[in-house]
Amino acid sequence: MGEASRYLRNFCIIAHIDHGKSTLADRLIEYTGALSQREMADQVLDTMDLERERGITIKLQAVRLNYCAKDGQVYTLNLIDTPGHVDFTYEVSRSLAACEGALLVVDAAQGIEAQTLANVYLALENNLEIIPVINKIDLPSAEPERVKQEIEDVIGLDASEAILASAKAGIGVEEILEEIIRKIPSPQGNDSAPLKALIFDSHFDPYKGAVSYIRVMDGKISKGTKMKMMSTGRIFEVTEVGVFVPSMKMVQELKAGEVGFVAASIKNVKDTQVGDTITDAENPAIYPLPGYRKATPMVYCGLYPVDTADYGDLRDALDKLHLNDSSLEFVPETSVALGFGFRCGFLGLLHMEIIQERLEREYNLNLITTAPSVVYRVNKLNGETVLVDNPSNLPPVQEILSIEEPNVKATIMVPNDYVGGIMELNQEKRGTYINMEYLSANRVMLTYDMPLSEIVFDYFDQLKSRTRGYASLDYELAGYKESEMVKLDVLLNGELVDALSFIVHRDKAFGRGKALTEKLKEIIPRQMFEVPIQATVGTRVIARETVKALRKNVLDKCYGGDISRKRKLLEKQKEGKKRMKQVGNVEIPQEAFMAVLRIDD
Amino acid sequence: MGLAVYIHIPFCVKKCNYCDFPSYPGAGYDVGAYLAALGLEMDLYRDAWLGKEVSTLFIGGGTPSILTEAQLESLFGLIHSRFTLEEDAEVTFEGNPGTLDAGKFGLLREGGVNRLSLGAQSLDDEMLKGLGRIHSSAEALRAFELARAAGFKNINLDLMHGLPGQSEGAWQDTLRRAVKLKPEHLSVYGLIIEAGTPFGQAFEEGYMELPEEEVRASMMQWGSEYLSSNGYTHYEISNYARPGRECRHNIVYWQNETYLGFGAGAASYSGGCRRTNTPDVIGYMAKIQRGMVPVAELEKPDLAQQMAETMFLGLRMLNGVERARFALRFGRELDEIYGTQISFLVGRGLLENSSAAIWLTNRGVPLANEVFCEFLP
Repeated sequence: MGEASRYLRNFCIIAHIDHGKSTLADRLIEYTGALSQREMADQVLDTMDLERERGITIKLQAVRLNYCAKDGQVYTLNLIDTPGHVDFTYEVSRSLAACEGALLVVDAAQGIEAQTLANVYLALENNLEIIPVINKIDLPSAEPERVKQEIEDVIGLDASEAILASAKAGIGVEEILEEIIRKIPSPQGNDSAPLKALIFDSHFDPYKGAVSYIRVMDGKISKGTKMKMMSTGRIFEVTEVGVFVPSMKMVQELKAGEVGFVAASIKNVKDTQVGDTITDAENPAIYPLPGYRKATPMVYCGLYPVDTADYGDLRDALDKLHLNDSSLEFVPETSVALGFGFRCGFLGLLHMEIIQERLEREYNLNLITTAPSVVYRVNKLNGETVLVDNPSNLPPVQEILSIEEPNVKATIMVPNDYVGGIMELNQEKRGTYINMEYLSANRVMLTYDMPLSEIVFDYFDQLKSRTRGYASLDYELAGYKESEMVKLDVLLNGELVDALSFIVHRDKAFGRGKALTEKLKEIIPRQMFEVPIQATVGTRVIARETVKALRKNVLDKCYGGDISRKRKLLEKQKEGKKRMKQVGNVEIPQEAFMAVLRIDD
Repeated sequence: MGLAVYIHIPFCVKKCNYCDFPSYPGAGYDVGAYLAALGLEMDLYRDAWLGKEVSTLFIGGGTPSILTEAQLESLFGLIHSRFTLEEDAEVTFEGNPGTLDAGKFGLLREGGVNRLSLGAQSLDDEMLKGLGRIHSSAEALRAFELARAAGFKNINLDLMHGLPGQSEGAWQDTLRRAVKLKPEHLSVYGLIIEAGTPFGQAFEEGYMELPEEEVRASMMQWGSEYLSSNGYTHYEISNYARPGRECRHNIVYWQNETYLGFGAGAASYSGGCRRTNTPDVIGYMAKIQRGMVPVAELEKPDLAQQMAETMFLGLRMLNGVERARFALRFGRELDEIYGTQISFLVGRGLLENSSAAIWLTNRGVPLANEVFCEFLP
C-alpha cells in the first residue's frame, strides 16, 4: 500500500430526494475551494438542465476535493454524488463499490424515508463506513434527537456521533470533513500489483470518445498504458487519465485507491461496459473484480419516431444514452400503426420519463411513447411459457391457459394521519396487506404486496397527492402471481391501433376503457371526417366515443397589416401538426399514446 | 399598375366589444396633430411615391368618418397635395353609420372618394347592441340611402356572422335585407374572438354563448350560396362583388404585391421589406415629429417565405394562384416547389387543379387554414 493513499478518502452521499445531499455536495466543494464562490452555480453537480428543473440528480459525477485538515495534512477526498429516486438503486450500487464510506444524510424534520433505508442497507452490504449527518437543523420543524433515535432504532446504526448540519446555512461542513478523515478508512490496494480498475460510470465525449469513470483498486494507469477490458478482452491505448475538479483535469497517473477517468479514443460505446474491470494488457490481473447487482428493467414501453426517417437518429441517440445509463435496455420492434421503433426497458416510470425527455431535448427527436407495460408470464395450453413485454404480442385468448403478472413488495412510509387513505389506495390498486409498523409516534411503515402494473400506472403521483407529498415508496420484485388479465384494444375509425393496446386486470377493463376513450376524444383533434373511438376486449366493444368532423378552420380577414400575424398563426398550426402521427387516415398527437397513463381510475 | 396606398385613421367614438385593431377614442387625442404627422410621414417616404401615379387609395380605421368636415378637408388636402391619382383610381373610404351625414358624404365625393365601405356588421338591433356598435340598423339603412343620394356608385357593406346569440334564421334575415339594398360589394366575416377584448374576456370566463361550430360553418356556407345566386361573385374567402366591382386595393394584398401604408399601425410592403408602424398614436406622432420613421416591426421575407406568402394570400382569392404568374415572379415552376403538397390537397378534396392554376374547392374554403399550412416552409 502506497504512502499516498493514507491521505486519500473515497466517499459518497446517500440520501432521500430533497433531504439536501446536492446542497451539501455544493458546500463541500465550496469549502475546499474546488470552485470559487463566483464559479458556484447552485448545485453544481447537477449539470443537466432537466435535473435542475426537477431538483433531482440523475447522472453520477465524481469530484476530487483537496482539504487541509486540522492535523495540518492535505487530504484528497473523492466525492461521488448519487441519485435518490427509487428507480435508480442500480446507479447507487455502482458508486458504492467505488467508495469506502458514505455520508448518510437525513432531513432533521422528515426523518428516515423508505429510499434512505434501501440505500443504507446496500451500503452496509458493501461494508462501507457510514457517517450519519442530520441536515436542515436550522428549520423550525427540526427534531435532531428524534431522528438520531430513529437511525438507531430503524437501521441499528450508532448515531451518537451524528453530525448536526445545515448545508444551506453552511453549518457543520468542517465537522463533516473532519469526520470523513477520522472515520472513513483510507483505500486499500497495492500500486505494484497488476492493474485492476472498476468502471462505475461513463460518458461519451465527441473528441475523447467514451470516457470511463474508474476507481483503481490495484496497480496504476497512465497515458500510454495498453488497457484491456476484461469482459471482452479488447485492448485500447490510454490517451488520457485525469480527475474531476469538478471539471476534467489531466493527471500523470491514477494509482490504487484513486478515483478519476480514463480516455482511450474508444469509438464504440459498447466497448466500455459499466461494471467491467480494466487491467493492463502487458501485466494483466488474473481475476476481474466482483460484479454488481445487475439492474432489471421493470417497465417497458415502445419508442417510435414520429417521422419514420428519424429511425436511425433514434437508434444512435439510444446508443449514446445507454453509455451514460447502462440500465437502459432497448431492442428493435415494429408496430403496424407506428412502423419501426424500439421496445425499451427502464428501471421505473421516472426513468422512462427522463429518457424520453432527454431524447426529445438533447437529441431533438419527435417521439411517440406507447403506454408503459410490465412483463407478463403467459402459460399456453400447449405447455409453453412465454414472456410478453409488448401487449401486441399477447398470444390469442384461445391459446392461453393462464397469465401471471409480476408483483412487488412495496414499502411505504407515511405519516399517521394518512394511513387510512393510503390503505384505501392500495386496496384500489389490488394490493395485499402484509404489515404495518410504527417507526415513531407519527410515522408508519406499511408493507404491501402489489401488482407491478398497478404501481406503474399512476401510483406514485396518487401516493404523493393523497399524502400532500409526505409519503415515500420503495419496491422490489417479489415474483409472479396468476391473475385474470385481459387485453384492451383501441380502434380508431374502425382500425386497430396496436400501439394503444394494453393489458389490464379484468375487473378494471371497463373503467379504464371508458376513461381512455373519453381522454382520447379530448386529445385527438377534429379531422376532416368523423372519427369513432372504440375500446374493445376481444370482439366486445366496451366503450365508445366520437370525434366530430372539423367544419371550420379559416382566417376570415387578411389584409396588409395582418399578414405577419396571420402567418405566425399558421406557423403555429403547422407546428401542432408536426407532433401528429398519421395512423391510417387519422392524425393523432404524440400525447395520445401516453393518454393511457394519465387517466384517473 | 400604379401605387396602392393605405391611410389609417385610428380614432373611434368608442371601441366595439370584439375589436383588437389599433383604434382609440377620438376625444382624447389631437386629431389635427395626427393629420399633420400623416403628412410628414408621407414626406419621409417621398422617394417611394414621387413621380408615380396612385391606382388605389384606401382610407381605413378605426373610424375615418369620425373626422369633422374641417378635418376631412384637411386630410384630402394633404393627400392631393402629394399624390397624383390615376384617372380611374379606386378611392375607398370606411364609414361608420353613426358618424355620417349628408354633408360629410358630399365632402367625400369632392375629395375624390368613389368607393364607400359601410361598417354595418349586422342589421339586427339586438346584435348591434351586443357588439357595442354606436348605431342602429335603421341608421345603417339611412346611411346607405344618403350615400346613394350623394352619388356613390360603389358601396360595400361589412357584415358579421357567428355572433353570440345569433341564430341561423337571424343571419339569413340580415343578409337578405342587405342584398335588397343592392350594394356593389359585401364583406362577410365570421366573428373571431381576440384575446384582450371584452369578447375575449367573456370567452375566457366562460360566459360567451357562441353558435356551435357546425352552425357557424353552415352560416358561412349559406351566405356563400345565397350571394352567389343573387348576382354576386364570391371572389375571395370573405368578399363578394358584382362583376367588375371587386376591391382592387385589397387584391393588391392578396396578390402579395407592393403597397404603402401611412399612419399608426399601418403596414407597407415595398423593396422586399414589410414595415409595420407602431400602433400607439402618441408614439407614432412623437417619432414623426423627431424626423424618425415610426416603424415598430420590420421583416424581409426570404425566398421561401415570399413563396409561402404568395400562396396563402393568393389562394384566398377563389380564382386561385396561376402557374404562369408564379413562374414569372419566382423563376420556378409551382409544381417544382409545391407538387407534393398540391397532390395531397387535391386528394383531400380541398384544392382544385387545372393546367393553368390551383384554387380552393367549396370544401376547401371553410377549411382554408388546413390548405395554407401546407405551403409554409
